[in-house]
Amino acid sequence: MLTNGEIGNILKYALSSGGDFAEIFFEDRDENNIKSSDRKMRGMTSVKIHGAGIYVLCGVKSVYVYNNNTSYSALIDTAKQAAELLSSLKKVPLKDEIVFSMEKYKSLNPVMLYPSEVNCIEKQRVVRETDLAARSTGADIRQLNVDYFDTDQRVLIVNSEGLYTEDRRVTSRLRIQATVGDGVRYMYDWDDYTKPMGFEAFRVKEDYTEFASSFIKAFAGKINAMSVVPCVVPVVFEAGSCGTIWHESCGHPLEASAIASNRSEFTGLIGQQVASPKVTLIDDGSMEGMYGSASIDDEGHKTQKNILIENGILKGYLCDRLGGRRLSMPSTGNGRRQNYTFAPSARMSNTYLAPGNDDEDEMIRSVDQGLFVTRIGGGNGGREFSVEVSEGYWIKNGQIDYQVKGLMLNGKGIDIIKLVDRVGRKLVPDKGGFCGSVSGLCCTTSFQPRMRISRMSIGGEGR
Amino acid sequence: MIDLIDYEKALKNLTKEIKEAEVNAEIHEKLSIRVSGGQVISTGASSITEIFVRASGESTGYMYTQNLEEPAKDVIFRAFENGGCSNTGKLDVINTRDKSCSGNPAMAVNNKGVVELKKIAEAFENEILKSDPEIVKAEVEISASTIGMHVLNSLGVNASYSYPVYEAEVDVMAQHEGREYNASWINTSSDIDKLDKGFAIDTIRESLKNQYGKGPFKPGSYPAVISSKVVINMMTTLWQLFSGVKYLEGSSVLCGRLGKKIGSDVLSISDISKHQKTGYIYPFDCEGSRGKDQKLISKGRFERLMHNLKTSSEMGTGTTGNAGRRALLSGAISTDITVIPKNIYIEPGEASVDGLLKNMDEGIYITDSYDEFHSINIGSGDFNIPCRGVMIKKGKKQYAVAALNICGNIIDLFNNIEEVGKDLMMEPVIMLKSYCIGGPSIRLKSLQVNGKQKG
Repeated sequence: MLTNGEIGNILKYALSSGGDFAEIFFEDRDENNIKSSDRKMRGMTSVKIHGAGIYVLCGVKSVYVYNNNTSYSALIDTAKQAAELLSSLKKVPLKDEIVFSMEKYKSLNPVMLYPSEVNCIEKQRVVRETDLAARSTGADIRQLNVDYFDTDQRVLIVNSEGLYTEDRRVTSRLRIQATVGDGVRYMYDWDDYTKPMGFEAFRVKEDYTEFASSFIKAFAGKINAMSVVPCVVPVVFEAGSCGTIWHESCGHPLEASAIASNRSEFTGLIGQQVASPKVTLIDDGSMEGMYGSASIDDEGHKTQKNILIENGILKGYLCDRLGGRRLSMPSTGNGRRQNYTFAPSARMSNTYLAPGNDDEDEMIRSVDQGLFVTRIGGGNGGREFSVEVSEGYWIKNGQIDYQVKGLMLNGKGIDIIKLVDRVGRKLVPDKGGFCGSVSGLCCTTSFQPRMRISRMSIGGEGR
Repeated sequence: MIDLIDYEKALKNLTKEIKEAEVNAEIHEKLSIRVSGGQVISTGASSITEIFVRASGESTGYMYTQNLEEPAKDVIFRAFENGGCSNTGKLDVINTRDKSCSGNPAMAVNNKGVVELKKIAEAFENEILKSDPEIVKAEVEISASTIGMHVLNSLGVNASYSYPVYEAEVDVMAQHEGREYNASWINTSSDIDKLDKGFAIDTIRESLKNQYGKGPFKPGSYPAVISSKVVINMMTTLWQLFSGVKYLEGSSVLCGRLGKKIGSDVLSISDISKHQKTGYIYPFDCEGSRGKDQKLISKGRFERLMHNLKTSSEMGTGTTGNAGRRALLSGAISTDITVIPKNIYIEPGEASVDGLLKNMDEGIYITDSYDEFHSINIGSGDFNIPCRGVMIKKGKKQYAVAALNICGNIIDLFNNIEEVGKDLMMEPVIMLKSYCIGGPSIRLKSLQVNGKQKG
């Protein structure tokens, strides 16, 4: 491990061409992956990630250099390279000694059983039990893969302002991929069981076996789902992970990189009514026990609760350090990255619609013809967004009717969020998944109470 | 390039429990510069070496490391130990020297520095802004990479390559009649001077114009032209239909249809090691198998699959050099060897885009689509793809329509292709850049298009 003096020297070299800020992000990560397919354990992979990235800023200019050789001499060369790439004409003498102040924060996701403390036999048992639970549903499964993953990431973040802080993040996950059918038609789908904790995530067998069997049952139900005729109808989104619609429709457009690059409909609208008055949207990386949480972001900034939209009024954006500089705003503790091979960028963490006062049952009862979305598969954000309706049902005369298939919902986020006419009282959290964007794949959650949009255009083949 | 001397030694001196082992090292060095408003806004440089190891005793285990300090024999032994978790009763098949690629089929590195990249990026931005007064902002990123691969195993395989690849990525914002519009473009080449700036500007301007204007839209079935950009987005998921892994595990809608006609006579899809429209080349795969150029679909007939050593052995055929790890976005480092394409594309035809629109006469031109990964189900072939387009009358563009969905089944779509354009474009797959996908515009007899009725 490098000494404080050595780290200080590296930062000083990084700033030697006129940068006003420098940061080193050190990362060590161990992962294990056990794969099974068609009831056979196909082996275990151990993954070791190790490297460091040096970030230098000069106003709103940035340089990011990384490699996986973290010896002192290699990092000095890397820092010099970063300084050279800054293209600043100013050559400044090396700074005085940087005095580091160690910041320690309480972990939001404490770990009881680190993955390295558990032998692979136990992990294989979990995979076998999950596979068995999936197959015990009686569904016609043509293909089934169950993958186990655990991750133990240690990061150390130091910067020229004297910050010296570290974090350890442990997650556990199962992924099921299946092809299920009825002998004639088959479909492929997958889902993740995600936990921001160590192997204690698998202490209660029913937790993960129920996930597996529910996934297969719901999936099997889709085989005979019917397509809908194109129409414009109210859409009710179930409580929980259907909050992905907020992630895609306005979460991404509220990230600093989108605002600063004029790729968002929300640019310049702070203080204005952008959504229905029933909408209060929050992003909070400081929530305990959530997949998108960490005590610090990947720039060492303490995570915090950020109210993005309040009663329909736009209150703020998600900012990392550079994004904040470009928008003349402070960091909101959202500077995140998949690993050291990415520069940090403002990303969502745990994004949710705050609960309202409307009756959950009434919002379905009062729909003559409409759609009830119970699960969203994934989506895409930007000026226009889209989400996959992974499980949905037609509403007829206020009652849940048949299951629908093959639907994507899309539109302009800033228009759609104005049409929210019901927000339920009970907020249900989401287990979490991954979001892919400019700084790689990050763990996030997106959730909400049950909510209704008064009209959306939907439509499948209509046959 | 990649110093694997320790691994070479370790492979020649395996401990007695280890029957065989393979080491695959990949190196990626990159220099990039991004300009906007005549200024450099960000610069990047990186060098990363990844070591993938598999080792077999009674079964096969795997290791991945970026820690170059770890002794090679320890890494190999840990991979061997991980094999204890397997109960397949089979060992992974690794290449033998006579069947693999050997030597160095390509050895070159990037020789462009940041000054040259900056010059190119600034000139490019300037040209873009001058091309159209409505374009008010442009960001241009030019990057120069060296990509290297080295495969070694205990059966004598020793092959390596490295080559430079240059990439240009452009994002623009235009203002038209008080509204803002975005467009983007990406291109790669093995020669930095061959990044086609003229084509980029034309494509960007066309992409912007295709978003202007609004008019009535009625959901229904239309004759359609799908742009090359949308075809590429679809192929980002559809390539899996031709994967030996998906075919054998039964998760592809094309299972059981090898050798059968699954599309119209004008549809041919190829997968090749090197294509002039992209800078990425694949002389051999991560198992050391030479990359084989092949037609997967020929005039509508499903003729071939892409294979690695395992799938080719199961099907009693030879590998096609399509072993790879980074198939799709997932939440972890991809270490499992599966099948991935090299440069996969729908073969172009003769018609220009204007020619396709003229031959369609009346219908819809689907210009842009989103969400490559969630909108097509490879098991059923059903798709429901969010997109935007332009209404066409008498072969001419009328007005833009947005917030649409095209839906149907991919087999029906393949059979509905009436004409293929000559405007082939190729792009590296988003984020992973482990293979390239291409497509020209295609004209369809009919396509179900849904969206909110307006007007």
